[in-house]
Amino acid sequence: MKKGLKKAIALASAVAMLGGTASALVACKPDSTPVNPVDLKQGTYRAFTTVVPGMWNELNATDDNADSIKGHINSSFFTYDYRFDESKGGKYKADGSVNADAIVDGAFVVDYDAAVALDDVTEEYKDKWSFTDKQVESGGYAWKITLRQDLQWDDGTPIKAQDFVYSMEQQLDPDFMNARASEYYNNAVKLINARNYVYAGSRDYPSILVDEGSGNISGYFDNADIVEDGDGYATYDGKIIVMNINDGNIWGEPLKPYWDAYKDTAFAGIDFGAIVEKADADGYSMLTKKDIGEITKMIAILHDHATPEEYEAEAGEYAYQEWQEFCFFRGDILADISFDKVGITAASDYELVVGLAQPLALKNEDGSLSYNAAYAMASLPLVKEDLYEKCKVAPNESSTLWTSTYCTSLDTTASWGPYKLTSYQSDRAFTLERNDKWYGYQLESNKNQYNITKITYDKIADTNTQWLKFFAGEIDSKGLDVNHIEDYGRSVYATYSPRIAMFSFNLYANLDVLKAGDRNNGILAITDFRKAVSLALDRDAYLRTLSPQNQPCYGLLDNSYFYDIANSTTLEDGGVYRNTEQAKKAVLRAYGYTENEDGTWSNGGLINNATLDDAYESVNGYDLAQAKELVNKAYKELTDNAEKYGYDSSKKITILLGASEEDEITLLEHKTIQGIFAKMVEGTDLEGKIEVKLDSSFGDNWDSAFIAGEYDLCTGGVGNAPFDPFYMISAYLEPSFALTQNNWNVETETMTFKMPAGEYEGAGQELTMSMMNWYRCLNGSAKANDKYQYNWGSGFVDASVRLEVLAAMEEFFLTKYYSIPYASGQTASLLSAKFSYITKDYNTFMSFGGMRYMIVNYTDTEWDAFVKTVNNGDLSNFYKETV
Amino acid sequence: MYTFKYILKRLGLMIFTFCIIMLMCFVLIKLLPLKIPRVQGSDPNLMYYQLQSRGYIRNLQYDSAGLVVGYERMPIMIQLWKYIKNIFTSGDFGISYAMPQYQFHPVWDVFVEKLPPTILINIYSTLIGVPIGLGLGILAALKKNKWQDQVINVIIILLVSTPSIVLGVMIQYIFCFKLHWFQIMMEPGFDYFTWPMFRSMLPAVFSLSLGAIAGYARFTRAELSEVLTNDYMLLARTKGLTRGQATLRHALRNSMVVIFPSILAEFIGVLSGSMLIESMFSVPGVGRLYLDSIVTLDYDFFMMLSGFYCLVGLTAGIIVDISYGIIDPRIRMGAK
Repeated sequence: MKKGLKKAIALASAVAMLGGTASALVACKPDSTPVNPVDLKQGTYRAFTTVVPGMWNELNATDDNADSIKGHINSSFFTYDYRFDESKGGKYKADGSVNADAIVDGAFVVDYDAAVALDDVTEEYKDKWSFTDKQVESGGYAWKITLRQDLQWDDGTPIKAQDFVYSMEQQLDPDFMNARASEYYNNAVKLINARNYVYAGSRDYPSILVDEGSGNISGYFDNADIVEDGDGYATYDGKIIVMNINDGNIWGEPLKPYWDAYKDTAFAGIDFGAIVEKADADGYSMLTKKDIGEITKMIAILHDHATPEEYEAEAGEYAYQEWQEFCFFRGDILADISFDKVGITAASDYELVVGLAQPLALKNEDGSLSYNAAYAMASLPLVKEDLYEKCKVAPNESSTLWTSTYCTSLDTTASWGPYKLTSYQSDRAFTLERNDKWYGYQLESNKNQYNITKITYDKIADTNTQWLKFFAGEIDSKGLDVNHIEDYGRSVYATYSPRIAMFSFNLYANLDVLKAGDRNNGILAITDFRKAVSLALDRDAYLRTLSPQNQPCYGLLDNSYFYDIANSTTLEDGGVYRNTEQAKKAVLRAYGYTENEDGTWSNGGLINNATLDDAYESVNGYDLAQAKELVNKAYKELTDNAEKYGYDSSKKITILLGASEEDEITLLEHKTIQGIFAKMVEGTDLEGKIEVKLDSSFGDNWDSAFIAGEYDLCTGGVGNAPFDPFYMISAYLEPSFALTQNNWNVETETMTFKMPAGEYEGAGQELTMSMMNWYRCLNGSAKANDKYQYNWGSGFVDASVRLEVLAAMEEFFLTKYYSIPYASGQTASLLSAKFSYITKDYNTFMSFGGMRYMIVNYTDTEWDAFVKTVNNGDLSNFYKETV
Repeated sequence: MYTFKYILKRLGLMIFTFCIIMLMCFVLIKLLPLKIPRVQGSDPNLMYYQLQSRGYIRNLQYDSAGLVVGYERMPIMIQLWKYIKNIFTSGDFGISYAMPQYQFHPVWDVFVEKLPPTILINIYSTLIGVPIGLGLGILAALKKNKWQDQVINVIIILLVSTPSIVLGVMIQYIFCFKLHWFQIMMEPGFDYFTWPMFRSMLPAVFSLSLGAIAGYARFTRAELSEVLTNDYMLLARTKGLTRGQATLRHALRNSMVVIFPSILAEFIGVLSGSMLIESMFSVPGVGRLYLDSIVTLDYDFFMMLSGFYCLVGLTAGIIVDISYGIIDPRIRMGAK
């Protein structure tokens, strides 16, 4: 999960969803516009949860359930709101109530919330954070957030800029190693020196082939320039040369696994063991000239040459320089840096300045807030200093790191959001009530909203109990499940919305691991076979059987992702990535369509010379005939190269489907997948030679097991970073996250792409970069040791440029057939008649307006009375009412 | 004296058994693979550092980018030693680590907070179940093969053959949802001894006790029927006791030798809570704790719960054995 963005969304939606009383606004804001001329009803919203969070500390809580408290008790600097059509009367009607008719469908605005101003101060902070002239010129590296002066905790303690600085210091404190610290160096908001502060004390190891200034690969140096120091270690230019036995660096793979496998055979006589032996705990080993010679010998053997001399005949001098690709210089230990060096400071009591290592475009050219302001920079962590200090727990036998009990109970919780926690019973229930100290109730933009005065959460784990409570009018919303969708799917109380989740079949394809196993399934390493699986999957039928609420999906990114959200309302394609020509072409190519010279598309079957849109509409991902052809092709490749694929024709090929448990759904899934494979191979050379088995012996560790090659097939979903496809693509790439991470090396696997013309760095050039570096450039975060460092992040190049790159990356990955997309998540739920949404039109940023705009139809007393009048308190038939 | 020696011997054996079981639990749970959550965009090192600080892993290995690429599991015996040391030196049973609903909460505190609802539900269930169950059993035995016996048998068969979860669903639907006699779920809060709280517990109590009633009734009927046909019952009648006196003084007491330990054992057994009933009625008890601690590999929780239930089980065994001697003076522990 992209924590920063997730938090931004959580906060944005929290502000949108939470309630409060409008009537109290009158008392709070005597000198402004009368805010409550209409008599709006107010009431309690009764929610349920299946897991009551145990810890909701902003610095450390990684559990999504924590948002049910965290989202209500915190605020944001900037927030989203509907855009209201002024020609239809604007946001408010004459009586002061919100003018729902003026909501512009799909549009949004970004408002100031806890902040009152935002300024780019990169130039002003040039010296403090050592920005280069180029950085100053491009801007976006330092931002001053001017806070409201009436921010306060629920006990009345004022909140100042210094509190945010203190909180960030706690967030990054290396003595705590807080789980969410990486949000400020690993995600969109990269504070200067944040990572160095967390990792103080670790040593820097720059790659010896990367020029520190440009970040480009430098030339290989002559071995004759290597000098031994007093201890006998090899140095170049005065710097000791080291190797990390766990890291292949630019070469790609580390040498140690090869050594472990072949030390007694191919590498007999080579003394790599000495290098391994002297490696430190982090894997670094300082090299001597002799060590370099040993490495050179190993490299020659890995290139199928007996000696370096023999390899030299083919590769020239490179045979003696290739070792440099593995190596680093032994740099300095990162000194314990003071927190002053971290990119956050208080310019005054109400001016907070953040310095970024990676720029963010938080304002539009016209000076208004960009969507990114309320997305990436919605808030920074804030803890109440005196309380937080009391909650610190010193290292002890249970944990050698410091820990904290902050935000684990009622007494250890402070609020600066619209609600405050007023009761908490672990694993059972909690209550939030209006926080009268919240500044937001004073805002003009919030008037006559927040009509929910109290929110109660009950833990209800049992689905049947949830339904009874809903039908008894005791909880106010309930998600529709397969057993109820027929009865209530068309109810006037039902709402449908996208769920940020995309599901795919994942196939294990690392041949070395497949061969080492005993399932005789090296065929999975053949692309044609994986493509056949993709084409044999009838997504419609599959979903009808297993999850009818979801929609078929053919790309890695579904309709929830926008390539240009800022202009989404004016663009013909709505700014939705999936609607673009580039994204459609990527999908068509991945599913066997070809583009004709005249720009029409054919798939060699029923679709001939169709327009792009018609061809795209026809995609259902199912082409059994082509799948069978591919199966035969793959089988031929397998049998022709049986040794390469470790194939034993006397044994069946086994595909092991991994799952966390063998419940009813999983068994049905297994049966369905068995059916898919059976149909796919029927009448082919592979018929009767392949089987799909189910295993759940790794339980919740099924994903780790798949990554390690214990399973060959798994279904899995990713759902994160709504709106941002450029970040989301990392779900399929990130080496520590992607399920298919062991199928390929994203740091070395390259894609070549000709950049669109334009006025930006790299425009019009044909570039070849690793997949990870394409991703990094697309997000403005290319690392110093990447060959190319471009900032094509949001706001720094035209959205169309980013779109082109993203579509190329998607197609590149789709045609690997490592992850085969099949479904996009949808949710359906019933909302109690006690409330109504302000609009039934789903808005990407505002959802249905949430609790902020929720209309209370019945007060608590009225509702109780109403429920009694309906079928003696049984609302089950009442909710069946259709349009 | 014999009884005292017997108890000492049993206690010694109990401690030995307890140690063996705990050792097995500790080793087995630690042998399961560690769960390292995959979180998109996060720094996995932070997770490894947390695990290292807990003493679960050591010797982290890094790549050149500083990312952890390997680690060594801390030897289990070292972990065990640390665990035992913490308990005996500082009374520290550990802190919940992996269960989201209790993260960073001391496991003992959580357990103590959650035990009362489970105990109360089961005490109420026993208080209702035992007299009704015994009463029905006695009546059925006394009226054996008459219509009363047949009716009771039908009820018993129905209740015994219906799982408590089904009974719970029926009670919840009929008495809570349709008739509004009770709340659908137990009230939140800690005021366990108020009328509203007691009333809200009743559906869960009935769900648990109906099965128990049937069990006790069936057991009592069977035992009592057998005892009633013994020769000494005839003797009791012939020496002038009324049927009621003979039944109460001789038949019931003798049948209790078997029935009473089963009541005791069942009561102690249910301290572990009923996962399904607690879930259905939102009883904030300990029912799911054990399973959750295994699923999430929350070691400290798992070990504390294992220790508690193991101790309860072993103690119950001793108490039940001792209770034989109290109920039936003819049984003397340890006598040769």
